[in-house]
Amino acid sequence: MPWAWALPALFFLVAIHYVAVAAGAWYAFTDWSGTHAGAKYVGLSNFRQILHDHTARTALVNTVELAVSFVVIVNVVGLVLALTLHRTLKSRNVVRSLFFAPVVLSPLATAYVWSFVFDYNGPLNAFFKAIGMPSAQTSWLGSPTWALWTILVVLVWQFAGLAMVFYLAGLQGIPDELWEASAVDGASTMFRLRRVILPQLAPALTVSFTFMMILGLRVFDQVMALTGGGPVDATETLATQVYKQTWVYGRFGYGAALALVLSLLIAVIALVQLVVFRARERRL
Amino acid sequence: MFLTRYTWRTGLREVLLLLVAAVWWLPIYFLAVGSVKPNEQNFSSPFALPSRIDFGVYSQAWKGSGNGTLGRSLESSLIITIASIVALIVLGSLAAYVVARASNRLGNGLYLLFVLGIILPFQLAIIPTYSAFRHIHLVGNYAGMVVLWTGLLMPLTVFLYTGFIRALPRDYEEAARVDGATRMRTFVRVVFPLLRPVTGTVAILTGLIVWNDFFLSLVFLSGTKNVTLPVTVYSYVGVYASQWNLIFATVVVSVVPMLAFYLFAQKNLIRGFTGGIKT
Amino acid sequence: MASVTFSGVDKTYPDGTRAVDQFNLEVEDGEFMIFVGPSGCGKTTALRMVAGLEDITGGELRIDGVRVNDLDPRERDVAMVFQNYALYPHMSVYDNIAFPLASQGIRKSEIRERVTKTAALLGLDEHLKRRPRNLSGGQRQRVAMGRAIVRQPRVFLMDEPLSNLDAKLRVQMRAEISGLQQELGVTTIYVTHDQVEAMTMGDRIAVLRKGVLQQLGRPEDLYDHPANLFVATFVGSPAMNLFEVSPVEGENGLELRIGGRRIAVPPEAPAALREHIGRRIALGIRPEHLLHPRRADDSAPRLSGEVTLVEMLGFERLVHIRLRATPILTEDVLEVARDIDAGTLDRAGEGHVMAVARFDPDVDVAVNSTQDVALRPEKMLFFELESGRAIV
Repeated sequence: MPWAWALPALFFLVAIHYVAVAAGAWYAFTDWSGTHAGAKYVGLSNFRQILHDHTARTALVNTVELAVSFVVIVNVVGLVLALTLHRTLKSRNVVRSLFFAPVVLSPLATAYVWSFVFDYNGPLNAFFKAIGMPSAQTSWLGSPTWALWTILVVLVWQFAGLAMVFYLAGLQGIPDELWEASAVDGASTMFRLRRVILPQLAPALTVSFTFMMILGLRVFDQVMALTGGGPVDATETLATQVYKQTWVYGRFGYGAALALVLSLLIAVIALVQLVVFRARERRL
Repeated sequence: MFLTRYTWRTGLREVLLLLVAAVWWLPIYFLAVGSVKPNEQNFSSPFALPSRIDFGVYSQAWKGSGNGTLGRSLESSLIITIASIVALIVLGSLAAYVVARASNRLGNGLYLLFVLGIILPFQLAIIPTYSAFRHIHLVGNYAGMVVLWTGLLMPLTVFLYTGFIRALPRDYEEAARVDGATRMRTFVRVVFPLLRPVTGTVAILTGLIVWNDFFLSLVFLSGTKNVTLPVTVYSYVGVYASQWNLIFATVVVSVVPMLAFYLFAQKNLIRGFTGGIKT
Repeated sequence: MASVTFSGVDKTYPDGTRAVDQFNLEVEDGEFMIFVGPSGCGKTTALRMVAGLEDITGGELRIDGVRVNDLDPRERDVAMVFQNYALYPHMSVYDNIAFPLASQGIRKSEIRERVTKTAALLGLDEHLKRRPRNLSGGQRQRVAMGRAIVRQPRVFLMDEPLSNLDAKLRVQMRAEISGLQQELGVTTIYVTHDQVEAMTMGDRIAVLRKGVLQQLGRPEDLYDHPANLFVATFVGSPAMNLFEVSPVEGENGLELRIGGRRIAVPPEAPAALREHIGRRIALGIRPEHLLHPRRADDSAPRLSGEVTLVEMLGFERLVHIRLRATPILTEDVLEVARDIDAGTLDRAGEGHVMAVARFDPDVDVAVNSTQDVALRPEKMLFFELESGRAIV
């Protein structure tokens, strides 16, 4: 084998994925400020600070809340779309393309359109006024209660099409006989969905849930575009905090510690979810 | 076939779904219409079609504000995306070929090394990479971004290529070698052309990720003339405040290339997504 | 043009499996050599070692007297036709055929000339611009041949090139390949598992089993004088009939005990049979040497049994007769049976053998009747049971 052919790729891989990750983990235990001054080992002090820092704690809670609700909602919406769209509809190709389009568009750019939608003088409030519910009008992005959920809406809007495509691919794999047999057996629609279709979709569920969970935990662009983390930290996530602490405030060591927390969170949640889903797949 | 029978219930389902799709596209409608409306109409009647069409904001948006122009960042985005795709395809396919065709333990170990990179958290890698790149002058320029992307997306690339090559019969390569071709000629003339489907998937997935990225460009390019579109849009919006027609024009310019590409290649694009993630 | 010499060639895989074991053979210049055997016998491995696609772990391989063990495939100047043809799907027929020449850096004008000539020879002129997937099976086969012959290599290697064609086309291509080989006179090694292909095409045949060469010879040698039970059962269709017999001293000389009765040993039988008196050995006789009693000499030994099936093939009748005798179920016989069809062995039931006789079509035989058959004395073959070796 011409082993040398693999060397350039291997070099990039090791540099970025192994050396840099290891270095990043090391920085998490230092007080490095990003200058040439060098880094001093400070043990767990960065992590202690995370525990005591109100912003960091809020970011951690927000990240998990946002990711979990995003995963659940985006998959329900995607699954419903896929089931509605599958087979018979005449316009299924057009509709599929319409729902998938947001997936390929810049999350940052499209989030700005949403910030217009949620603007106090924007279309959403105009809509509530028009249907005679003026009391529902709110400063969506400026409200500590609502701001986080606007981000959720944008996330679901952007990625439901992707979940739908995962499930459509899964549905295509179900043999016709299975649909026919269950229909001939006289099973109700809900019964068929639960006992016949969902078990067949188990691999697609695993892929979609894992993928969306990682997306949700890493949310950054939408927050930066819609709220910038405000009002008063109400929408800070771990990813925005990593960015701000490191590059805005120059606290590289602390930023690395936050990045390590985020990485561990992703690893643990995604891995646990993957294991649980795979185990369920096997039982089916 | 009862599965494909079209009844009135199917018709109802179809109408409902089209309605939902229309609502789904409302933001894109706001975007398109809002950019050519006089700004005050965006608030007085956001749903209405423009009373008069004004493309003037586009020339204003194109000129931009501050240190970058949209045209310049469009160029940056294109250069960084294309160069990264090319580097990933060339280096990734070569590496994957070695990994896939080496049946022994060394090959398997190498595969594991590459694929483990998909799981390793890149968030953690960015901070030390940034400081290292500063030392070797790779911050703020195209080369640095291409190097960064080539490294970051190499595991995904090698993973996709290896899966495909492992399923590819060895006969073609063996025939080429018996036909007198060198190893390099065998790869370039016989193996690589056979990889076209997966090369397409790699190009689409990595291209989308690079093109739409905001975070890394923000970190590595901020403050230079080489920023990519999302960063430029980000910095403009801060300046334009609530001049929505100007903001929308900027956003339109930044999403139109991808939207055009999507309309042109949506079937392959969707297939690339599911194919890439399932294999 | 060249000779190919295997001297004690071994192929041992890292896990210890021996694919080829002490292989000795010389393919002469211009010869059409067949490697035949059931799947897993090492024939393809041996061929791939000549191509340079498989490492040689022991012994020496020479082409034209020069050791090639460590040469890269492209340095060996051999051409190969693959079982699935391995036509480059993204290239036109022209580019496929031109590929080996272009790889050698030959001038464009010469490439054009040689590809055109080769295409004309194979009747592919009209298809040069097409892609392989738009060709029929037979055309693909020809393109693969074209890619091999365009180079005028020293040796042709063919790995079951006809196995993907339907039966009719296979017969036609069989003749075409033989004709082409004779015309070009290039040393050829041809691998097949089909013994009919082997018998009809080759100058000489090497029969392999489990990596070991069983017998090397002309088709008629293999058919008439198989070296052992394996070759005897592998070559010929329907397969040779085998019975367990035991030579005993009778009143009028040597006799054979077979299924409770005794038949006289004909004078043509090998003298070495005497050394096996009292031991169990195998008697083999091909279907065409089981004669209808009317067509045989009175002195020919006879057996009788129940007719279970008559297959009318037009030019002959295959008569299946259930005889009282002990079947031969040694490992070598079973291996061939498994390779053809696992079910054929136990149809006869305990203590019986299903024998097949080839009768003329005008001989009337009724199913379920009792039928006598005569054994042509000079065609009776004998084998040791344990070693499988022929007794001569």
